[in-house]
This record gives sequence, structure tokens and C-alpha cells, in this order.
Amino acid sequence: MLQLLLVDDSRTVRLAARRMLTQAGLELLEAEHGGQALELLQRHPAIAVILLDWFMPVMDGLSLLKTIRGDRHLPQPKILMCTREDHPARITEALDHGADEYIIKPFNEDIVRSKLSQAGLTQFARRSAI
Amino acid sequence: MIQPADYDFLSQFFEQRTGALLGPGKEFLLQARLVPLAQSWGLGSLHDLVEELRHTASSPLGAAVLDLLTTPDTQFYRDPETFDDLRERLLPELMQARRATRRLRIWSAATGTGQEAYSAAIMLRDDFPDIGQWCVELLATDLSIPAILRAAAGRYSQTEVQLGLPIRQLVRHFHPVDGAWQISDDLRRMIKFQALDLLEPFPSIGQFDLILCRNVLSWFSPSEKRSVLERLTQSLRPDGYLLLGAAESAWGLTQQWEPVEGCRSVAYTPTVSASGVLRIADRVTA
Repeated sequence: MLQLLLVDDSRTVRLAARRMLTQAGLELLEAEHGGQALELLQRHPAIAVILLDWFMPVMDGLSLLKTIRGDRHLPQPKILMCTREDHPARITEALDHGADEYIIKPFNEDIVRSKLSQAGLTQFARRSAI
Repeated sequence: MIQPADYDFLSQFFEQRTGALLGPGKEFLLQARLVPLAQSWGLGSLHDLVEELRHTASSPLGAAVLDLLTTPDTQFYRDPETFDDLRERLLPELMQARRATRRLRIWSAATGTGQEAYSAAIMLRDDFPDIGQWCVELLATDLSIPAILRAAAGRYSQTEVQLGLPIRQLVRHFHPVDGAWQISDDLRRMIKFQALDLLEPFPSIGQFDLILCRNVLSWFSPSEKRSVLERLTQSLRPDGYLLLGAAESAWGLTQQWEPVEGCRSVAYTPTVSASGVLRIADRVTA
């Protein structure tokens, strides 16, 4: 089962996301900030995807993104920003620093599946149904 | 969940008004689309909405119900393999065939709120760098006038732009407006939107190189599907392509279409007997 690391300082968001993501068939790990996430990533190099909030204490999402992408000795999972930040310049900034996709909160399972598929994990795409 | 008698009534109501079949198994669709309508009309439940319709079927409520049921559930790049085939094979082949005239006509025949047409426009703009030197006519039609009006406006919610549309294309081709996202005027101008009922004779829209008629035939009876498919042969150039929805097929309905081999999507070309002209592939190998 694919491992996903969910990084968000909001317990409410993590709880809602956990329900959606386990339903989508993912094994979840959680972190409350970038520092915790980095430790988890180093202990669990098989993590395939990080769902990453932007504004968090201790270490924010952009800092974690830059740290991971800036050190090729670290595992290089897919990184999907998952944040309320919707300004195009900030979105572009995240993409320029190596985010694979970007989810603007609030989100639902369909959005997560779509974004995982667009990030290259096409097994999560929903097929058309009549 | 919807009561069987209410489902039967809505099925008959829908068929009488549109000529299309609702068919079995659409309970979830009806619940999802009509319960919010019932609530917005101050009706306690879907059953209450149906009771109201039984007495006032020609009312604004009836029109609202029809509109919700005829507006398809759609998203950007729905069934991505369709667009992969377009990008990697079908459009390059068509552009090679049209290189002398540099004209391409594309019809999104059941575009709903426009995401299919805009997906085609975005793909042409981003993946075909020479497209600016071409005359591309993109026609997008739908039975639902409110859907076409929405499509023409080109404004989508935060949820809609996150379903199917890569984030890079969102920031490249849209800008945020009042919590929603507005497509660029440049792309909006590429597309002509109009209301059109596929069950009626087509107006004079000419012939196309590519027709997308996806996820709409399933609403029709077999005879209606056959009729639409046969009329679509008249609207497609002999070496053009017709694309249907991922769960659809022309098989067994008409001899006038044959599948395109090697495509991941549901793609057809007119048969030789229908067109009297060899297809592109036959020309290449002949």
C-alpha cells in the first residue's frame, strides 16, 4: 500500500483528510509541522507522497519543500502542497521550488484523487461512469 | 433514498421533456442533484418535490429539474486517456493532413459547462507550439442553455478547477476573481458556444475534423443513438475522428463507424462505405 505523509498543524484537517485518504487506499503517517515531517521521512524512506500544508509552526511547508528538494540524499516523494494560499504567485513559488501539484483548501476526495493522478499516481484517477 | 414511484415519475417526466432515457440505476444522481433543489424551493424532501411536479410539471420548478438533469457532470480533462490520444496521435495526424490549409475545426458536441472545450483549447495552446499559425475553429454545444451560458462565461469554482486541471495550467490560463477562477479572454475567444439538441436535425454547422461526443449517447435509446451517430457522419470529414465517452461504444448500432486501432480512448473514424474515401491510415499504407 502506498504511504502518504500528511503534514498539517490542524488536527481537524488531519482527521478529515485521514478518512478520505484511507478510503482512497493509502497508508497514512502524520506530522504537525515540517520538522516532524522531515524526521518521519528519514525514518520511512518509502513514503511516496507528502500532502503538505504551508503555514505551520516550527518549520513551514515551503521550508520543508526547499529542504527536501535541495538535498538529493533525502528521499524524493511526490509533494502536493495543500493549503488555503491561492495567490497565483505563491502557487508558482511552490511549483518552482519543486512541488509536484497543489491543492487549494477546502478539498474533497475527488480533488485529492485528481491531484494524485496529475502528480503521476494515475492509479488514483476516477474513471468515467455513466 | 428515492422511492421507486418517484423514480418512475421522474424518468417519465425526463423522457417526455427531452426524448432521452434516464434509465435504471440513476438514484444517486437524482438524489445528489434534486435534493438541494428541493431545499432551495422550501420543499421538505425529494418526494415533496416530485409531488409538486405531479401538479405543476410545466412550471419553473419543472424547468429547474430538467436543467439539473440535463447538465452533465463534467470536469477538465475528463478521461485523461482521451486527451493523451489527442495530444500524441490524433491531433498530430490531423494537423499533418491539414498542413496545406492550416485549418482545423473541432466540435465539442455535449460540452456541458464547457470544461471539455476549454481542455481542448488549453491543450492546443500548451502542447502545439505552432497552433498560433493555424486557423482553429472550436464549436462547443449543449442542450442546456444555462450550461452553455456558464461555459461561455468561463468562470469556475475552486473545486471545479481542481478536478482534472493541472495546477500549472490553472495559473497559466486562469486568474482568481471573487473566490472563483476566470479563464483568459484569449482562450474564451477561441470557442464559439451555442445551444444545440443532438436529437434534432443539426443546423448548418459544416463539417469538422474532430468531434467529441462524450458521455451523452448513454442517455439515449438505441434508435436515438443510431440516429445521432448516423448524423454525426455527415458532420465529420471523411478522415476525421469521433471520440465517445470511456464507457460508450458505437458497436452494434451502426456500420458507419469503425474503431481506431491502438487508441486508449473510444475513437472512431467513418468507414469507407459511409465516406467513400480512404482514411488517413489507409492512405499512408496504400
